[in-house]
Amino acid sequence: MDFKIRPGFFGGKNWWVTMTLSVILIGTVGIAVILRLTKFSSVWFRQGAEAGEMSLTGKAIVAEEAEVAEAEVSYELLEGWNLVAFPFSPLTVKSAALLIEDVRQQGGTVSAVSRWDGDGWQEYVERGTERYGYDFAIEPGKAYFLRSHDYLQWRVVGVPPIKKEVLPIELRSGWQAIGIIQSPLTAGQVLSAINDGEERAVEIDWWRSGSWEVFVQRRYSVENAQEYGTNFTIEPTKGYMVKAMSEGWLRQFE
Amino acid sequence: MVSGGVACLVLGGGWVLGGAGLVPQRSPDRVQAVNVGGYSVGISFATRQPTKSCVVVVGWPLTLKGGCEKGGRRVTHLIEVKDLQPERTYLALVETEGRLAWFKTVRVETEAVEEQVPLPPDPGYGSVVDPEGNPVVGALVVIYPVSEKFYYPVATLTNIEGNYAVDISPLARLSDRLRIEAVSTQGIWADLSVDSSVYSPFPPITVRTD
Repeated sequence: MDFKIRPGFFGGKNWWVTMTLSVILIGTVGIAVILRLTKFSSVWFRQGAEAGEMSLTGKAIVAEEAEVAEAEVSYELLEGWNLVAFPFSPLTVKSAALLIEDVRQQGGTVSAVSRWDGDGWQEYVERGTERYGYDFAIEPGKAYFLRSHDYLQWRVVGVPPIKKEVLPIELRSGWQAIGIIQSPLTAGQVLSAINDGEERAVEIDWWRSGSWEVFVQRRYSVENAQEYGTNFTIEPTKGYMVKAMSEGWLRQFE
Repeated sequence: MVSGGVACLVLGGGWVLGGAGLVPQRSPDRVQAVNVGGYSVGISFATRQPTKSCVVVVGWPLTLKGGCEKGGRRVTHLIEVKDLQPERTYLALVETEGRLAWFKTVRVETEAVEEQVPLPPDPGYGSVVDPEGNPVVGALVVIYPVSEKFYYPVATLTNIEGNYAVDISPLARLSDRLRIEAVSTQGIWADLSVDSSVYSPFPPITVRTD
């Protein structure tokens, strides 16, 4: 097919139709760009303002200003699966293999450590002297399932983060396994902090002795927001599964 | 790499003749989608000769994602591609040795994001050994539910001790039996079936390595 620009395209009797359509097209694109920029700006500034208004004072294991040498937290490992998180940089359990060894030295038995990779569980297992799968790092802000074979009061030593250096947790669409340092907080406050007036995260769950304790927060309209389930208290040593509808951030200590 | 993969797609997929001709020894074999989630997929395959490989995933609306293996050449391959979208259809192109001549394609549909909170982990683990009982490092292990309905398998590579561990919670709810396939670093396959209720470790899989 041969395309040619007609000589009368801009100068013929239909020139005003072309010009009108062009103006409408350019105007629409321009308005869309302005709206998008405005939305981004308002979200950006609203996050800062409302996070401050929530007065989420932190009592978790964080250093206010200067670095603190060490702190110790205690975990109650039950027989079965335990979903835990680390509110600081652990000194003795820097990896899944070291975690299993640390539990062993304290008289317990953990055979498997699982971390969520965004789509599924990645496994590291030890049985006797055999090691299955690939070792991975243990990081603050993430949740890990531990398969314990005994009851154990497990102590972990770590370096608390400096409050102002606690990084926000990035939430992507779908399920995430996270740990929350800030305390005291409720499940509803966590979802509200993520949502910031929109509906980004709708559900947060914790693993209680073999089943999920579920809390759901839905915003059907500006006037109609509903909560379902028990608004449980967040604990920095526990891990949580959060379902995000879209990308968002959980900013702590702001 | 990405442009190369797209060029292959434009050519129509399947085998093509490159400068060196058809060289099956380095072409990917038993290409399949594994570890399929809402946002990521794995592509597993084997080559008869050790190769370096890449995967390009093409989707519509136009999406190009990809990844290449790190390290040296190998026979067993598992490449993960992330940042995909749930419930989309993608075409994955496997390319070996950076040659357009050696590639295959596989179609994959990403899963929907689960409405309910994911099941807790259910590690399935075991070992891959040679006929003398020595561990096979880097063997590809693929686990399927024994079911009439198709379901994407899960896969991993054995560690330095010849052992593997992978989450089978999505499979165990689909079938009472699992089929575990392993491919040695010489590209030789073996498999066994186990009850999904059987506690791990699963029986060792013996693969020939000669």
